[in-house]
Amino acid sequence: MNTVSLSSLIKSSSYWSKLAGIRWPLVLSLLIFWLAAFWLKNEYQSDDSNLWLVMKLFLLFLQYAIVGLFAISLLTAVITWTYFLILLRNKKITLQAKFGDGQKAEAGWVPLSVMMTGPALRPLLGTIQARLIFAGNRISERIILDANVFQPKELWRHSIRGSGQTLLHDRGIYDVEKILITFCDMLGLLSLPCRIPFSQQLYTLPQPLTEKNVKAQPHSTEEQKYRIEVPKRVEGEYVNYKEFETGDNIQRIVWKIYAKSGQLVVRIPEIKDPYASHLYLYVSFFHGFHLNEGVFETELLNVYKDLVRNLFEAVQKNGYDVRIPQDQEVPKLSGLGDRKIELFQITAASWQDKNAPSSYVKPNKAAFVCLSSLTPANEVELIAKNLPSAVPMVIVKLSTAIASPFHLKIKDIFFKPEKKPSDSLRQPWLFSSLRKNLVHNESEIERALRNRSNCWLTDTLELDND
Amino acid sequence: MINFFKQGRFQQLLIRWVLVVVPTVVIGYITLRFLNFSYTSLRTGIISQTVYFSLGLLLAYSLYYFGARWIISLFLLWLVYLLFERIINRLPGEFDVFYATARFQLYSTLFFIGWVFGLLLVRLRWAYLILFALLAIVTLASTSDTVDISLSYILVHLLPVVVYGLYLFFLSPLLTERINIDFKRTRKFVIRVVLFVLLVLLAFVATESLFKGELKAVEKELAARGAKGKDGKDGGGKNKDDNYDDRNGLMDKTDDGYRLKDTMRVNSKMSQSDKLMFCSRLDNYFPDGQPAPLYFVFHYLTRYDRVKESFTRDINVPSLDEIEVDPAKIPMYYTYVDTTIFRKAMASKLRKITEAQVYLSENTWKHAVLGPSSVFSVQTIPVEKDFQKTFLSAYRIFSFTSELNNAYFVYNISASPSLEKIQEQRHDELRKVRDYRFVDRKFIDYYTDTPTGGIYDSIYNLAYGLVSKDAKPVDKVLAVRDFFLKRNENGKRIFRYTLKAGAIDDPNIPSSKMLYDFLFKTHAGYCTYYAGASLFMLRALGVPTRFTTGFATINRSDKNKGWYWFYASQAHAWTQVFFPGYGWIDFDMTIGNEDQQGAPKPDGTPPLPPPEPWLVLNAKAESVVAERKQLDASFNSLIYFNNPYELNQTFTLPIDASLCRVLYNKRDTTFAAIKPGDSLIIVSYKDEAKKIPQPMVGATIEAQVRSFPKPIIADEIHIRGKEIEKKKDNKGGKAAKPQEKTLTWQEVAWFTAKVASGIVILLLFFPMLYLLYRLFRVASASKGAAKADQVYRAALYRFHMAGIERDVETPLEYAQKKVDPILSTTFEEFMRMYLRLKYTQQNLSADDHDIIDRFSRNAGPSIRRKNGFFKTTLNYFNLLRALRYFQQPEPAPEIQSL
Repeated sequence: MNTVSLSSLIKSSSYWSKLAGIRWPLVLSLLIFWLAAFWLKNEYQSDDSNLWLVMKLFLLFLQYAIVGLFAISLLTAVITWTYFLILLRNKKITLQAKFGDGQKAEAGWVPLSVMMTGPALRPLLGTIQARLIFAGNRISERIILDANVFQPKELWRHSIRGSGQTLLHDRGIYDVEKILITFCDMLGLLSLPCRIPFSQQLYTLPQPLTEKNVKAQPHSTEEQKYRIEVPKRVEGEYVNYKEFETGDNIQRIVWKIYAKSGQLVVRIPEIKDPYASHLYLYVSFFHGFHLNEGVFETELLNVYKDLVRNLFEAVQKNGYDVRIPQDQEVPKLSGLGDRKIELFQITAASWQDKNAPSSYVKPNKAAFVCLSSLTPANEVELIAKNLPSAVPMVIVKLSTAIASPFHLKIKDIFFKPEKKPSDSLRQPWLFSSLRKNLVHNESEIERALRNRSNCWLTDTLELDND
Repeated sequence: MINFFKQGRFQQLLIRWVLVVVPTVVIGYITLRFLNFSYTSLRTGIISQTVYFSLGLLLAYSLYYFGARWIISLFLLWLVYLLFERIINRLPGEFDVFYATARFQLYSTLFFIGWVFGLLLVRLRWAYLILFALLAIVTLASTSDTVDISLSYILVHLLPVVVYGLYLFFLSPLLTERINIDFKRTRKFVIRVVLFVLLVLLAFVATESLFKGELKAVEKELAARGAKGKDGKDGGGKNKDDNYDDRNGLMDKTDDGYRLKDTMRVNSKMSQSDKLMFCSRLDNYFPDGQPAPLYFVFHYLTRYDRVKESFTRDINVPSLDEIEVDPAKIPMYYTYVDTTIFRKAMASKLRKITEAQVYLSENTWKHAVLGPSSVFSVQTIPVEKDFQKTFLSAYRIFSFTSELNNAYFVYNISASPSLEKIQEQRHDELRKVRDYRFVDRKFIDYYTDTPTGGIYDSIYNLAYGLVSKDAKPVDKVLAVRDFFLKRNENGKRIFRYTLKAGAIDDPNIPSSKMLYDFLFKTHAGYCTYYAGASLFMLRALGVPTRFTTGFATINRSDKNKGWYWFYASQAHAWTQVFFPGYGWIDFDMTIGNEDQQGAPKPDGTPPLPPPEPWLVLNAKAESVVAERKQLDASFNSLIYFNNPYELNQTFTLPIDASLCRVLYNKRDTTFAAIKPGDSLIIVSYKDEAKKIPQPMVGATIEAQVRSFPKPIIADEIHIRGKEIEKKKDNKGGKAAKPQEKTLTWQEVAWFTAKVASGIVILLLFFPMLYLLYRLFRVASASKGAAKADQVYRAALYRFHMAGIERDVETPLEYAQKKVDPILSTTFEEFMRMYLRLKYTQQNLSADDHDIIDRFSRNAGPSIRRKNGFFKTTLNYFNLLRALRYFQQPEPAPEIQSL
């Protein structure tokens, strides 16, 4: 846990450092100049050789030129920043930001663009940069506002705009609280900050994986017609025939049935029914461990959500309207349509220990049950016992959600693999007590499920169900 | 971040090659070039060095950009290095291994440095600070090892490093981002980089002008101090920097021809060219009347520089019998005498004064004094007209030479009994010197100073084995000579002469190493090898020795006795050994070279000796009559029958130049070239036909001048020009030149700045000027339709500039809806009248005139009423608004479209 708190310390310090205004190059270069001057003074002050006569002049020359350059660089940044603050006070600056499609995006690198309208000036050869500050002092990557936006017939730019990407790794809701505008000088010595209140919400969806097919049948018999996108074939003995009516082709009469029952029926072509009944996918975020709001838990949640999303979509492919009964209250997001509510539910959920799966899963309704391996083994056993054997049950194995640091490919020996946000957790996870407990729990679950068919303890969606 | 770059990562890498790798290769090249000038051991061709450096840089940059692990890659690199080393060690032949190893070491080091640079540049955001510091230290260190120091030299070498550092400083924050290469963004990016570089240059220009005063002071200080050597013989030192290509040779090419080097390494290559350098008439003969040639000295290289492994001049050494004068600066027929040379030669026995005339060809550096040992007097003399094609300048010298010196005292001559006898006599004479007990200790210590360690020690041990330490100095010298003359068991000489000694093509090996190879392994070398080796051996034996450069004198024919011709291939190096009482005596240890003995060309016709002048005037032209070729010259110094005099008053005498030869810069010209105020040297020859006043004993020179014939018939007039005199005045002529240069480029910068600010001011006042133009058109328009038109145009402009801009409205709508409600003018009324006028071609009524007058009178004041005077004026500095006005379509067609 020690490392975790250290990393959070680093995170918060990186936030505060962005507000410091002074950047490392300034400190470093000042230090180096001072050291160089100190060393030269000590070493050569009394040196009277021709070389040092010239060198002294050269160094003086250099010193003035560099100080001049630095001064221009710093001054323009300070002046434009002050001007910006004045504009801000006079309410002449407006800001706009847009993520993904405006409301949601898939977790990972999210496209982001920021536009600032108003007569703000850039520092000489420098840049104006924008960062978004989310709740909890999380901060986005910087966006350089380098494009000028003109209005027709205007000679001076109307606003400045920039676009880029920012890493939003955690699946969930992001609240933008502020926009951090920084004025960077040309040499990157200063980045003068200004936080402007800004409010916007967006949520990130769990990442889609490769497409899988998971078979499921509705267990529930509630007949609610619900239009589905891909019509399914309707089967059944009587569905293919209808009573003979005047006007029907006599050649189509099924004499076999007439011989059996004396009914005159005609064969009708097979039809596709655009309506289907729905099925219930039970997804539980219950855990039986002592969890904190730590980074492991968040990462496990991310992995679990990804799998749930993909399971949801795979089940949907069977042609049913898939519903996920909620096991917890999730925050509401305004302007969200009913159609996509399930995905939002998945992404907004978090670990809970109130609503145990044994009470949450309704055996008579459930068509598919998904649990995490954080569920205590006895709970799993209880559900397995109550659930009809035809209902498939997936228990997502989370002990392998964060890869082991020893998990390397040959290429990785020579080249660094692509960095993932969870890389820093690999080593701590290997030694964490949570993993140990989880592995223990998983082995118990495995034992409990030994006698039940149609259930899997897996970390992928490779389900071999027929 | 890596995901972020995934798309088109290779494209991003290519962009970084251009932005980072190429500038680093350039700075690497500059630094390597610089290092190559300062250190011998690097000389393998700058291009190939840069190629290896760039290869390492590029490979590492690309590999690490794609995320290679540095520990693993460095380990693999080390394995490759070991493999190559093994392969090289298996090469057949000891020498091949040696050279291949040395070359491999150098190249692999450079490759590795490139590699580390690449690694740092990719992985470390602050890499530029490290690289900048590294490059600056390397450049500074090699600067401190340079002989010629000037601000421009330092600027040229350090400024690129500084600019590179600042460039990377600027660039590094941009490199963390993805760099787009669509047209718009690339253009922006390029503009930013270019603007930054311009800003840096501007900063340097501004600082430079700020420090102009200090700069001058330092230049002066430098000129006053150590530049002694440069002002005199070393005057061309500056040019040397630009002409280092010829560094392998024994000579440097300068603007003024070739000159021997001031510093010389053992492997300094002999020139094999057969260019004629100079010819000389030397008045030195054996008692039997046979010519006795003497070696011509250029410089004494007294100090051995351990760092650069080369022999260098040291003009600050006491008792250096080398004259310090630039013959090109001595006025014609004038003599520069340095009598301290007699004392500095430290010789009293068997010395005599030898006269020589030296004619320098265009190939020879004209600032060089060439002559037998211990020149103490230099007099410039003219070159006879017919020989001017071959020889550019000439001087007469007098040397304090030793009777024991002779060009025949080399050791490879096929034995001639008479010469051997003279040689023996010489040795017997020198045997009188037993030791150096009564010589100044400091002097001995200086000339027996030797480096220690490794290779040097083995050379000394070799010397100790040749002769006992107590032997007489001359016997020690002869022992070294005999060592080089030794024969093997087959009777063949062990040492031989070759121009292809050591590894000239691969001078990767330090000079001392080559010397070692020469003495112990190859036994083949040319003059500098022999001179260098014998210098170390003699100094080790306690014999004061110095390295001498100059020309070997070869007597090729008896046709013109006393005349010698010197070609570039005769450039030579030998040793001089000091004997108390006898001074410095030439000892040339070089084994004979048959190639060198043969004349590259037969000797030419010697130039005619210059006529003897009876009078030389150092004069100034007062008035010139070009038609009659007469002039009046004022003078206060002259040479009268070879005696120079300074007069206590200025005389002005008429000069008759009707039969005279006029020269400018030692080239023939016409009398018309003489302008009043020119400095002239006026020469009159001794001639039977002339009435020449003979010197009178007892009479003052002024009295004698008064009795000179009038006019004086001149035979030669040398124009020295005005600027030459000026240069002489401020002495630091050399220092003044670069200053002038910097001034001109500063002037260019200032001029550009002035023009730019002029344009800016003009632009700023443009809207105001345009208003004045419009008002002027209104005032100058005749009454009627033309006036209405001008009033309309002026009003449109004034309303626009007052902030009431017309968008898509017609002019009438503009007047109705915008202007009149705000300014309450009579614009609408005027507009109606104006439009009617335009379309109906009616004549103006009195009312119409009234409307025009009223409107034109009110338009201006109504704006001022609304905005106030200050704001109204200020509005005319709104360039953007003015530009928008001109973007609008012309008012006239608009009317037609109504």
